[in-house]
Amino acid sequence: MNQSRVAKDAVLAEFKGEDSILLDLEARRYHRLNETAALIWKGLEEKATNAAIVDRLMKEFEVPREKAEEGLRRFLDELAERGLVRGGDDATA
Amino acid sequence: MIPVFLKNSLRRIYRRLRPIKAERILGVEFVNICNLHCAYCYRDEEMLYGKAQYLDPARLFDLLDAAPETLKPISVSLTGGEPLLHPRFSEVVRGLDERRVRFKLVTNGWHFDRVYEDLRRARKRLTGISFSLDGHTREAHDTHRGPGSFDRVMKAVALCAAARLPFQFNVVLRRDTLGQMERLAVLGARLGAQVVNFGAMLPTSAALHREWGLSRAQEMEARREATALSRILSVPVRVLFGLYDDAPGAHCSPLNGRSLTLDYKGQLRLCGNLSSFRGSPAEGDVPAGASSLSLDDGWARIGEIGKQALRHRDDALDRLPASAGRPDPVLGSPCLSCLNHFDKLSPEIRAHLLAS
Repeated sequence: MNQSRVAKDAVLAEFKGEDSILLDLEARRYHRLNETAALIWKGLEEKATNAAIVDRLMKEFEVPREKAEEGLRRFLDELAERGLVRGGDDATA
Repeated sequence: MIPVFLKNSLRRIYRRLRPIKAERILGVEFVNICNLHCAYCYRDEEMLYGKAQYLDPARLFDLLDAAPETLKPISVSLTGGEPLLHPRFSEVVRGLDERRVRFKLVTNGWHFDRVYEDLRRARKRLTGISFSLDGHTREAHDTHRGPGSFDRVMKAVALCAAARLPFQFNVVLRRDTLGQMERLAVLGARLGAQVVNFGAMLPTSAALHREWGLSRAQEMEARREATALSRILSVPVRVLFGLYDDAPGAHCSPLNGRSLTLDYKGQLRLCGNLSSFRGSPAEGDVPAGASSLSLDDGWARIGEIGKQALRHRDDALDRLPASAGRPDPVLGSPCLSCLNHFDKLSPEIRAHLLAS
């Protein structure tokens, strides 16, 4: 099963009902994450497979599988651009 | 009727012209205990890891409420132990906000998420949150503070950045942090700290000082490095206290009469660094009846205690013959000289320092 991995040292500061902040400790940069993105990041930290993260998104936000997969793929692309994840180019695999 | 724009202009002119009154600082040793166990900490082991004792917030508020106008404005600096362990922290932050008292706090950041919302609500009065750092990486920091500490403090920093709460870094200068000064300052600059402060490690044993303490030359190098970094970076880099500086006169707010400390027992005293110093029961900076003193009486009586300590050092510096060269490490350091004056240095550490 496909799995994306956290590639950089980063910490997530969560806010209840608000955007969370991901602090990239290597680049020393902050990234603002919405609730969906924060849930995905936590999944990556826990080394969950992409399929498991999609399941979590569907359950937490009550969205259809296609939408959850699309959300995960887009976020992984953004993280990859910033060098924060590696692997897992197919979010649904 | 005066038009609003004219009224605002007059107000601005008045604010510029009125004499600026220096703020006095009441350091508040809010609680005795700490959740971390840093070997170099100058606080007494028994105090830090013994029975928890919390300052009664009523004592703090009574002092502030009864303070005469001549002492105001007074700001509060919450320290410990670890101040976030006080079970009534939220109540105190609310009380300070209601009284329009500006405040700051010094914390290791471990429990920051507990108080974050309180601080956000009182942000108008919050002047800064000082996070203690022991290294610019997880490995360096956690070596002193234990696993998980770096991630906790970085999470706290991220929370502050998100909510635009002002924060700064406090770093104790040791042999390992001396070489990290630039990287720590850059970390502060990149993460948006207001300032990066470096302070001396106060010596509590010869063994500890041998392992971590700086020589006089290294202390002077640290001071030069802070000045150089301040010129280069967007963030101010300061050396706070304790480093070798043989100039006479007051080098700190307690000795220039700008600050007092309220300890966790409710006693007013000269300086937080003198409170519960490891291995020393001496309480020479605490006047009689300190737990019922008002701020007015406290500032007068403790001010005299401070003046005596200052006079003692200035006289000793005066008496040094020109041929003696630089003063010894104890006399040459304002903090060590003060600790020595108040019998806080053990004979063992004093002999070690004088021989070093």
